[in-house]
Amino acid sequence: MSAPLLEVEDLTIQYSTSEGPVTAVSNASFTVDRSEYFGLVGESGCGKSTIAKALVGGLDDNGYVESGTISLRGTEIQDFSEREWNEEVRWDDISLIPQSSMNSLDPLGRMSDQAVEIAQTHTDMTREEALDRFRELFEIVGLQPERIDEYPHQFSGGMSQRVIIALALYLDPDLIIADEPTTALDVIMQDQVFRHLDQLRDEFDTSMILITHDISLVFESCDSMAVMHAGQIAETGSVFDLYDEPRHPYSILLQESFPDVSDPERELGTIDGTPPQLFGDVSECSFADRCPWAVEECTASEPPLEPIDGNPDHRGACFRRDEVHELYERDRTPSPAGGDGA
Amino acid sequence: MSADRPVLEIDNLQKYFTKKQSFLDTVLRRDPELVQAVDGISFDLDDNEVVGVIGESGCGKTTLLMTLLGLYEKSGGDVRLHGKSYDEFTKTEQREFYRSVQVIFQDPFDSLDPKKTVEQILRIPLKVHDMDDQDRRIREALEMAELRPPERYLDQYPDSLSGGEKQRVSIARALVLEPEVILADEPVSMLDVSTQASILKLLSNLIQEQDVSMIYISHDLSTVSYICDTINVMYLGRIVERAPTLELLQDPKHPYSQALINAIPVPNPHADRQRTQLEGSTPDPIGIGEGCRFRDRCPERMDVCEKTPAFLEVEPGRRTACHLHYDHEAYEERKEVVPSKEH
Ligand SMILES: Nc1ncnc2c1ncn2[C@@H]1O[C@H](COP(=O)(O)OP(=O)(O)OP(=O)(O)O)[C@@H](O)[C@H]1O
Ligand SMILES: Nc1ncnc2c1ncn2[C@@H]1O[C@H](COP(=O)(O)OP(=O)(O)O)[C@@H](O)[C@H]1O
Ligand code: SF4
Ligand code: SF4
Ligand SMILES: [Mg+2]
Ligand SMILES: [Mg+2]
Repeated sequence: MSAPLLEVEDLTIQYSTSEGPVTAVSNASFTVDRSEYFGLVGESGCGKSTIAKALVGGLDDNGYVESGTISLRGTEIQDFSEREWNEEVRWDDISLIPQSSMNSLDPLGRMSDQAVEIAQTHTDMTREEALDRFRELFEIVGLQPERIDEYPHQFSGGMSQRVIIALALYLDPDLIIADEPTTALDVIMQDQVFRHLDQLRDEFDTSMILITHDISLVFESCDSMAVMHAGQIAETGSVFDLYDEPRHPYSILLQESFPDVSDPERELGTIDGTPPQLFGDVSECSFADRCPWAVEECTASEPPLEPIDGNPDHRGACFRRDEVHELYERDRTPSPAGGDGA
Repeated sequence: MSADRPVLEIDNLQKYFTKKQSFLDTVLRRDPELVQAVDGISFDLDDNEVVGVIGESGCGKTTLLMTLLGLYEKSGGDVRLHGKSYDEFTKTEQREFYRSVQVIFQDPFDSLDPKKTVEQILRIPLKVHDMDDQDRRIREALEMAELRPPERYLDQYPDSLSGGEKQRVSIARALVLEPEVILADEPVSMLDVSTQASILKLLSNLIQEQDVSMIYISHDLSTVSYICDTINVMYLGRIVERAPTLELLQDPKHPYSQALINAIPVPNPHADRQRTQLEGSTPDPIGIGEGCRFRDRCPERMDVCEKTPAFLEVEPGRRTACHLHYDHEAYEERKEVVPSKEH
């Protein structure tokens, strides 16, 4: 069996701060295959963007991979030098659409100049070839090719976001990481952007990591997913695994709190408390403070991400993953501090 | 004042901005272009009622709210509190208006002064309105906003609170003056989902238990059923549809409402929603003349759509402004007797 396109194993990422090392990601593991769309969901601050940046070697200056590996087609890349990231990964293998990238287009440069610059740094395309390729991509994302010479301010939010997607696709990467690509857009425009993202998978075999706080986007548009809570991956599997048989308390409660316009009378769940900030070595479940079914064991060590019901693709990091379903059914309206005799 | 009179009446309210002129415009003596941000909005707000105003960014929601509050000078129309026009307020009545109508803003992260404690934040409006019993009111407001026990929060600064707690402080600040009307501009859109639901529940409990009404402004239709009784769908400065919330979500009549609802992703991988077929984005409300404002994007567009559609009742309690939904001959015949204010 050949190695998956991307494999992340036991990845721990820290930021050094005056209060000590902040652990933004703790022992995260997941894989993304060719032409697979993988969704990464979780609340604000849980470490999604940190993972995205680490995958292209672009962590903030005080951030570093503490332990674990990132493998691209079987090659470990987490210790690459800046030059190696540039030559071997960025743009032509993995291309990142950063969070709030809509504001990141250079307002003074024509879009076409920004594209030519990328092409000339990473390939030996001529200016004319580079422009032809950019026009082609404008068409793919539903923009008029003659507009490539315009400036960013001449585009609406939704159009700018498509320009960014066109730029990310520019060197035909195998994997696109899109960090909250539509969060700043209205729903209709969001759906227009996703119409084009759907096409990419169908026509080009591209893989994508879609990072979002909106679980419905992942359920609709991805094949597999991971739910994160405060630095830890709570549960990962196919979107059907996580929808039909969620086994981590956080993935269950998160889905309950998510409104569904097609079922407007459903009662919304809430999750008390807020995610903790983790420091140094993590030796607990980061959901323990908010979890209705926490027991002593949960704060004694970090729960490992392990297969659920013997399915190696569906994994959960919860000591009680085999009984959570029953516990949930038992107290339908759970409240932390819960009646569980913890 | 009669008991069945609405608390607040908004009657054909308009707010036009004039667009800054370029040098060329001045030389050519062009008339300044009008931005018709709010163009003839009418609705009533009854006791203990929550009326939603929903639309995409730029449709005029915030302008409506600012104009309602008198923070923007209106270009036309009227706002009445208990039947009394905003224009006829005495100084005292105006003060009373600013006590009884309170706002909760979108962003709890920058609507609270980071240098003031929770107690100080809540005391300011009480001082401004010269209210007695300030300590008691502050405590009660914190209790109502479910910041319990109040002592735990009094001395805290906003930075030490979570997003949800900050929004509760904004709610407490609105409640401390015991208002009759709360205007909420996207109060949960900056919050994580796990917190959103609890703030929505808090707001809807407050409406039921206290004697307040609310205008709830949002771009997000997926949460409105948890709070709003009635929804107004707004497009380019006008209301295009009004209906009880569940009826709107389950059976939208106006092609724009349909597009808006159909574009909302569904949190279920088995659902098979079609992506939107609409192209383009909302234009700016500048220099728009006759005709349905949605016609350039509308899949159902007809010749008659070059004329502005009337906002008419399509079913009891439901209105929409779309030519698909009325009998034009019958309408022309009785036009003279149709009152100008259509509720
Ligand atoms: N440069 C930094 N220095 C110190 N801490 C940081 C730094 N960048 C991020 N963090 C912390 O790391 C954690 C994860 O942040 P990250 O930006 O990855 O979250 P996120 O899941 O992308 O959140 P959001 O949904 O808000 O974008 C947070 O606790 C954050 O405060
Ligand atoms: N001060 C202003 N001057 C000129 N145009 C404005 C001003 N404020 C808002 N607008 C315009 O009015 C329209 C409605 O804006 P706004 O009320 O902010 O919409 P929303 O709150 O629904 O996003 C937009 O076209 C906006 O550009
Ligand atoms: S039961 Fe324990 S391990 Fe599982 S989610 Fe709750 S706190 Fe974490
Ligand atoms: S009036 Fe005409 S253009 Fe406007 S929404 Fe109705 S059918 Fe479409
Ligand atoms: Mg982020
Ligand atoms: Mg607004």
